[in-house]
Amino acid sequence: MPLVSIDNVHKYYGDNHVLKGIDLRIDAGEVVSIIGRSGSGKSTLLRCINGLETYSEGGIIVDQLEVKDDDRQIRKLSKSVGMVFQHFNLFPHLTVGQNITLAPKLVRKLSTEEAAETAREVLRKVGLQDKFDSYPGELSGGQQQRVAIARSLAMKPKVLLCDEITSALDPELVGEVLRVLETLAADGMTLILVTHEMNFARDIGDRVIFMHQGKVWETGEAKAVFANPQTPELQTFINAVL
Amino acid sequence: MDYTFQFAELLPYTSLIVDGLLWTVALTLITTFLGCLLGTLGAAARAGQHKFLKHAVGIYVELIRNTPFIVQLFFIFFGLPSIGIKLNAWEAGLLAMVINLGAYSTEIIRAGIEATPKGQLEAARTLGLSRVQTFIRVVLPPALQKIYPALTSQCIIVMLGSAVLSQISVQELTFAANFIQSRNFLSFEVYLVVALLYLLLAILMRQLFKAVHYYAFPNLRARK
Repeated sequence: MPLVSIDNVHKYYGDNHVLKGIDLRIDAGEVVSIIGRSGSGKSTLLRCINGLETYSEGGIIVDQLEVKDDDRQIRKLSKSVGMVFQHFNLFPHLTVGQNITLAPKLVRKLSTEEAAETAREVLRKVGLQDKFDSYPGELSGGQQQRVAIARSLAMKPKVLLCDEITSALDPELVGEVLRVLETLAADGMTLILVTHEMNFARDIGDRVIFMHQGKVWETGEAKAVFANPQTPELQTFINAVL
Repeated sequence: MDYTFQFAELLPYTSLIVDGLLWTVALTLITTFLGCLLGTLGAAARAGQHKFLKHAVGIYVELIRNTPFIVQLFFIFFGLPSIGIKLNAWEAGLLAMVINLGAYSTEIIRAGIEATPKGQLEAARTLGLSRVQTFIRVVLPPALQKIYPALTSQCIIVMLGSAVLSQISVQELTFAANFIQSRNFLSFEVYLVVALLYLLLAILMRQLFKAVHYYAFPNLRARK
């Protein structure tokens, strides 16, 4: 059974039909990159997977939980689906350690010691074990994004959604964040990324999904999709970004 | 000008002035605490989803912010007994101050809450925090941080406004001044001394608020 099943999902913003019948199956351990122009619906699709956006038709099931617009269901989902955002969204008034332990304590009901232990473990994973007591404002963008990844990991999700997580970073900071993702991929974490990092999508990703006009326009094994695009739209897109 | 200042004439009344000052301080401390608490709850209701609460608090805020404090005070002290609610001067005065600060701080804190970036709420939701947890742990602390100067100014305004309580014979600082002045007619001396005491109190409050700020928001101290 796939970890994420998306069945014929439609979404409208008023009259604007942004997702036009999306079907996708993603298995545990897969690294899937969603690429496409802005406005193609890729971020919207990603945000539907953990309930940040509602959809009008179809169904999404993640880890045997139906994604629906219901507070309790969304809270249950938070234990299976993590998300990292373009602008980090760390809580500025909390230290790195407090940012990471907040949800494990409140939602997973871990004790302070257990949560702190988990926090140290995930910080080690992203190479920031010495920043436990720092505030987000003291860190570089790349470090903040690594903390945001660690914060998601502390909830022990089965799949991590990454929404353009390197787009707000200075070019020299992109590498450190991508290296963390690479480690996670190697550890077998399921990753679904909306990304403009085509090299990363090609070299680390298992599968690429090219979205265009609210549809999955083309999809396939990562290297093959880039080497041998089947549609003129993907051809044009690849030429424009690579 | 042939007036001779007679500050020494005030000395016999020292304990009266000190008592008044202490009452003003006590009223202010209690009001600051309860008023800000009321304001936080009011702001939560104003920013929340519950339609009835939202409108009820809206009416409360507009009612208090658009009527004179002294009228609110008289209504509570002289008006409410007509419908069976009898409060002594202290209770009425304190209640009027708390209700007054509550209304102003509701609006101030609401502004801070509404300035919360959407991404903070999305992060909290993604991490599985409930609405209440999100409000208390994620929304409120940065909101208070943002509006802290406005909120503390309002607390000082309420402290100064407590002088009006002398009108229903609450024996705070201004009441003491009025009393002494009625005995020895040394208006200049008495009101000058009392004005300076209010000034001193306001300065002390500002310093106290600064100290609270320092300890309450350690993230602002962090090195960049």
